[in-house]
Amino acid sequence: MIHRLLVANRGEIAVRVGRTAREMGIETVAVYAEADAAAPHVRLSDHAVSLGAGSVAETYLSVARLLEAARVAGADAVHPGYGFLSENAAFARAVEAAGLLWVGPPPGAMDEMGGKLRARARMEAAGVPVVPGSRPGLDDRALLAEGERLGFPLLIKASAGGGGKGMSRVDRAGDLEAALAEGRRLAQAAFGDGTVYLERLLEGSRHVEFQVFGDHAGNVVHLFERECSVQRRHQKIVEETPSPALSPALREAMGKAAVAAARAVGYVGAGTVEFLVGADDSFYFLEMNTRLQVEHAITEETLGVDLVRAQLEVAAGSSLPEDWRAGRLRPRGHAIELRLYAEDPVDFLPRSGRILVYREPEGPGVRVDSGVEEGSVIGVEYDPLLAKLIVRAESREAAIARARRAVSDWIVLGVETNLAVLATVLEAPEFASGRYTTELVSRLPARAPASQAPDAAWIAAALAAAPGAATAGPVAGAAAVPDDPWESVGGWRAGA
Amino acid sequence: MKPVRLTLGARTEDVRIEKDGRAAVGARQIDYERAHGGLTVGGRTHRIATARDGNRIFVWCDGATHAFERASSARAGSAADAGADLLAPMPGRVRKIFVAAG
Repeated sequence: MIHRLLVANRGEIAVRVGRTAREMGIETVAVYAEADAAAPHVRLSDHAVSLGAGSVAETYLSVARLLEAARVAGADAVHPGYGFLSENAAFARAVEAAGLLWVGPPPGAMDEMGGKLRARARMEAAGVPVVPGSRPGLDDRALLAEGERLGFPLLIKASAGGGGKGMSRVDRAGDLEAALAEGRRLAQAAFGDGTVYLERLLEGSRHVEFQVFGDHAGNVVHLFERECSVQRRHQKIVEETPSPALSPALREAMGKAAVAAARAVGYVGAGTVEFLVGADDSFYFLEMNTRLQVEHAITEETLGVDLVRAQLEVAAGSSLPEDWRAGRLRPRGHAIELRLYAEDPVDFLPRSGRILVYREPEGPGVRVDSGVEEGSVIGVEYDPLLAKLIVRAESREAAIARARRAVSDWIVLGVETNLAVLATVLEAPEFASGRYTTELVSRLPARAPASQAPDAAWIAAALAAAPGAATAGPVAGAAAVPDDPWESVGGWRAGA
Repeated sequence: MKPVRLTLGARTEDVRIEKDGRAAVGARQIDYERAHGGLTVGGRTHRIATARDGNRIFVWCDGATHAFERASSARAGSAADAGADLLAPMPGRVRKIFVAAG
């Protein structure tokens, strides 16, 4: 039984974990860098401990400070959320060594899945399909032969790379030799290890993941899939479940593979097995995220479960619920998640600023998991995810309509966001058809030029600019038409 | 009321708000009405929210967000106006000129 839970995170996930903990009668302990002292995740928790001032490395990534915060607050368990130290096995071990309950998978399982090549080898041994590729450590001559066997296009990958770094594409056999030399040179420079290997490039593929869950009794189940192909900069912005791409037979096969992957490493707790799905319905293990996923909420909405509750119960020693173990869970309806990022809607680079007006969408089947509010200051030192909109409806068509409506109701002023991109995705015929790939965002129609706005917007801006107008509100400045004769006669006019 | 010079992307307009629900966006005269926290223009009611941060004015209108920039001084005119005729905001006579060409 957990009595007091420290949530080693910030933003929306810290708020979300805290909510379930309090529903379970568990006291929550927030941690915060000084700049976050007034953040919602701090205000909404039962206790809060400062991690002091400093960089992310000195605060949310400081194992020593986090453990000290847990000691000071009298916490008996730690939930890592996602990001930060959530997939750091050393942190998990340090938490356990401090006598605290780690709400996550066993550190050994994290180790197994943490290294790309190690995980790939483990999955191959467990019979889980992996993207066809060469073994690491081959010399150039052997790799040239492997290239012929795999076919083109293919990727040269740095063994020590990750997160999209250390990869280069080769389209023709004739280019492979030169590309290998360049790939080794870049890998050596970037990672201190020039080892490379080859992997077939799956063009036009989809990114589909399966939620898995294990308990200490050895039960491992899957909780169906999430379609995650709407991405920019190799990061997801829209997810949905069920995937419109999976036939019942493919879903069953992938679900079995996901469970096999988790079993192979003795997995306990919540995890996600990611796959690439080819146009011919072939599927390959990509990686396993050994933590709660950002997009976990769409699974919760279609299955009517609380994954954080299950994490806490399993960590405390409970078995998975009987319905889960018996395979009686069935998704109902369709859910879509849309991620609100503080970023430029064209180049997708993070943006900073203060949120001046913030209104979340509401209504039936609408859920917002948010870590911000009016007045929040958004910096560039953290992930720019502000909030997640999750909608559920009886059908995919109804869920898309609901998502469009909810996105059009979301008001965020003061910081640039990707709301226009989300609206464009929802309007795209390719998305509506369900037949889209990870290239969807790059093929979206050009967004309207920034100079286009209706007359009402120009008038509202002028009203807001009037002296004495409120700085924020529904129609700021509505009552402000000053009597000053200098104001009423206007400014100097040129060319009149 | 004096016009407000606003820039949105590549477009700049002088917007004048009158007392009687009339406005001018550039040369176009537009009737508007405030309604339930929004604005009715041309018979259509738009949902509106605004926020101001210095010379930056953010307008949310029917689900789209627009970031306007207000010219720092409406009386200053624009560079494009240089060399054109000038009209004073109040009637008067020029008594002395303290600058010379060049």
